[in-house]
Amino acid sequence: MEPVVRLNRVSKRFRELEAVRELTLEVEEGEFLTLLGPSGCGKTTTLRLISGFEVPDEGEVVIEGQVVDALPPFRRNVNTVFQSYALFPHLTVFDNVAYSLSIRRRPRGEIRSRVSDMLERVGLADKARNMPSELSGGQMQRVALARALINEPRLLLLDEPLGALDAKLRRAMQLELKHMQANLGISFIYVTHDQEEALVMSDRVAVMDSGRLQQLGTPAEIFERPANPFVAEFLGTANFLEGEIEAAGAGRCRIGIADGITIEAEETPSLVTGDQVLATVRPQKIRLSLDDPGAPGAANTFPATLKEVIFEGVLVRLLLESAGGIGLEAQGLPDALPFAYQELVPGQRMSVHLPPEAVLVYPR
Amino acid sequence: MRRAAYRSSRLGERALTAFALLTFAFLYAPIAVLIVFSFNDSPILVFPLSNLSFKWYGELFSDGDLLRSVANSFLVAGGVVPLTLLLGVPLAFALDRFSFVGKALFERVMLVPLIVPGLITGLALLLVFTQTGFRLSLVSIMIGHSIFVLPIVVIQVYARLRRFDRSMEEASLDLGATRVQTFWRITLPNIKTAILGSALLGLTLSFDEVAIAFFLTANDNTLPMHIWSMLRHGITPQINAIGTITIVVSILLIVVSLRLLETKK
Amino acid sequence: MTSEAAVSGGSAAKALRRKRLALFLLCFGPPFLYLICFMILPYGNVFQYSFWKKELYTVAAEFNWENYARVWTNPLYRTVLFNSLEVAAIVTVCANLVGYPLAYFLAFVARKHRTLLYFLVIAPLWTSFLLRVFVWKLILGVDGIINGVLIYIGLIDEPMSIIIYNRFSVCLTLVYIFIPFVALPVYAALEKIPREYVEASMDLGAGRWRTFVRVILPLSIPGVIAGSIFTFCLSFGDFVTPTLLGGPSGIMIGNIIIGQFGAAFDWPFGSALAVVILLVVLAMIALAAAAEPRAKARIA
Ligand SMILES: Nc1ncnc2c1ncn2[C@@H]1O[C@H](COP(=O)(O)OP(=O)(O)OP(=O)(O)O)[C@@H](O)[C@H]1O
Ligand SMILES: [Mg+2]
Repeated sequence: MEPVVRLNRVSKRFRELEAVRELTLEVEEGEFLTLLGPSGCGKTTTLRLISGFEVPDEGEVVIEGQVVDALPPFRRNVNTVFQSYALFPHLTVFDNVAYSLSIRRRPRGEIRSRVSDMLERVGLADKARNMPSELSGGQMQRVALARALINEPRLLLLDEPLGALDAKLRRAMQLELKHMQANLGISFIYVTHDQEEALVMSDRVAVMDSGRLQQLGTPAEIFERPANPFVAEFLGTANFLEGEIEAAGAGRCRIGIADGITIEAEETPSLVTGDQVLATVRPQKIRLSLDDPGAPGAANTFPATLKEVIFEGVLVRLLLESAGGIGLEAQGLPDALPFAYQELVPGQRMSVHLPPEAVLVYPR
Repeated sequence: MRRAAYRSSRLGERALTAFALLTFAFLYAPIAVLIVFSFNDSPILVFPLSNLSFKWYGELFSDGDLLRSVANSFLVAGGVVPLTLLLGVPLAFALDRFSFVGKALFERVMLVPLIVPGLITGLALLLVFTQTGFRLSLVSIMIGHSIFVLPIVVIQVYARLRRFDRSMEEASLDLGATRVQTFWRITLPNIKTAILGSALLGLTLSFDEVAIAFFLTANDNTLPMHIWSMLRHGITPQINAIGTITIVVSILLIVVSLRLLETKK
Repeated sequence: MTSEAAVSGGSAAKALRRKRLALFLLCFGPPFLYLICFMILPYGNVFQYSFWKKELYTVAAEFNWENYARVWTNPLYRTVLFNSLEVAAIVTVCANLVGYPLAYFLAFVARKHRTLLYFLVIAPLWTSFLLRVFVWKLILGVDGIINGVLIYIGLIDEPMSIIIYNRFSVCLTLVYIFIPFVALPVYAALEKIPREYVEASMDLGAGRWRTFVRVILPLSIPGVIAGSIFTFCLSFGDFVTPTLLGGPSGIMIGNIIIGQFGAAFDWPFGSALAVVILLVVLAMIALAAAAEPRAKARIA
């Protein structure tokens, strides 16, 4: 089936700056796709290329099979929830939501019933006569959503819609949005720089950096198998170990890190002996024990010195340093650690184990 | 709230307050004098005052020249306001939305007529009009006034546009409104008060202007020009009555226009 | 396929740019042309005219410096010119001496009725200039209020004539007119000073006076400059006040100019005098433009 929107090698420059480079992306009917990336990576620009506020320098944007590069925003069947909400301050909540219907000159009765339904749906039926300035952040957010959905667009663009809300409301709204999207069957392109939010809400996530698509995949794929060190780091991998492949074969490879520490990992087909690589491990995957092995011992096990213990409530973070000054971070749930974290003392020696299946290797 | 933290000393504060009150007295006593004398019965302006009387006001309404000059002033201001809005609002829009070579210079030069004494603007236009054979009339006064009202309109509307959040226009386009619809339904309502406020200011300023009109008047006097010629012939108490009316009307208009120009927080 | 896409993207961008240019020209063009025709050209034309020569009943378009020579060599005109500069300077200083404390009062002392007081400061700006000048005739005149009151209470027997029709009455009236012109921009500048600066200064042990001199005053200089420019330029070129209240010793350059355009009918000479005013205005703007960054630099 024809995707709802397709970006075909789209590039956009602002003078020297390439905000979006050769971006190719498709969004399927009813899909929740998230654009994830650090500030300034081109997420908003990508949305604006789709909604029609920017015109690509190269490439094309296809919405429902039609090349829309020459179409102004008001001729595209796409609606946007703006980051600042952009509610019209001189119109009531009702008139804000009714705006696009009244632009299209729908009969008054139809407008009234559709807007009331929509306000009901977002739980703001009692605020219809209020001005936007009289609403809370979460309520404004719902009005913006209602206003964008009233047209029943095939595709809704949301630019960090929860950015201005506090953490608790944010979590509640994440689920609410997700459910609403599933019920309506509308495709969402959702922008955020919060990786957790992206993982919670999306069917697929597109990770961007400096205008380029870094990886496109399901939340599990991008979390478990980041395509490159950038994605790995953006999704929370804290440990990067530089090394060289010493041996590879039979689905395994051995990487020399420093001072006799070697790590075994699953083989990456493109890498051969002698390649300079970066090995990564998530802090949660590191296994620790209190007995000091003295020297690098069994596969992937080596000693380290505890530098600092950081207690974060649900989580304990341990900062370690092993031979050759390699810094490592390990994390665990307080109750799931094989020792009582309260008794740890900085300076004490510990044994570190990196499970081979948890080590991901990238060329350097 | 924060403001309270920096305070002058008690004594200093009292001294400043006293000084400010004196200054306000200095600013408003003359206006009070004008008003009080306009109700004074005596035909010559002498102290002490005699009886309360409205006769000078009564006389105004039988003075044909005066009434004509008021009508002329309305004609001039009634031309200046739409003219400067028609030119000034798009100009403010262009300054807000576009950058171009020499913009900073243009923004400064545009303000020059506010600093140049009115008689220079008046005589400069007079020279051009006579050289090109353009007959002096109320239209020439209108053009003269527009030169200093225009920057006022532009400053006010430009300032408002700069505060206006452009993502609201994008939201409107996004919701299916064309650019023209967006302008009428979203942009205009949000800058409306700035436009109305500066229109009222333009109206009062044009109504009171004398220096430019001095050079560009042919036969039809505006109200200030009429007062000016009355003053040259000696003081009459009627002037106080006219003055009281114009000042009261001006102040009313200012109250309204300042309300409109006020920033909504 | 890709190259085609590239073309379609590029051409849409080009069409958009063309539309924007059209919109710009539509918005900017008419007011720009209007200002060229009725502001730039007329001001420029005054320069040209000032080099022409008056003949009996006409003006000869022959370039000559005579008008300017006359401004400088004729002692009458030179005196009037310097008198005008002096009056403008005195008025600027006095208006600042009154207007600055008033603005300071509004910004830092007045708490309860700030909006009302602010309104009271600016309202006179928009009310009839002519009438507010005229009213001083009623106050200072020989039959005026001051004389009337003084005679009534028996302090003097005969009306004093030294308080009107001289430089004093002109300066007093102009100060009266221009106090709001100074107070308004100074207040705007004081308003903008972040309270943290002031508090930080007090916090660091600077007294009130030192805080004022080292922090508040420098930060308010742009307002003082703006107000002073308005006051200096507009009072320098005023003719209404000296005509109504000036008398022989209060004549200013504006009187001479209107004379040239009236009875004397020497427009080229009047234009030369107007150019003098324009040059003073431009010099003031240049001076302000030079002073402002320096004031800012001192703060930073
Ligand atoms: N109109 C513009 N003119 C010039 N540069 C722009 C413009 N819009 C965006 N940019 C630049 O393009 C780059 C990408 O911007 P974009 O707004 O798409 O980033 P973003 O991923 O949305 O970032 P954020 O998370 O901070 O919102 C940035 O470096 C930005 O400065
Ligand atoms: Mg963004």
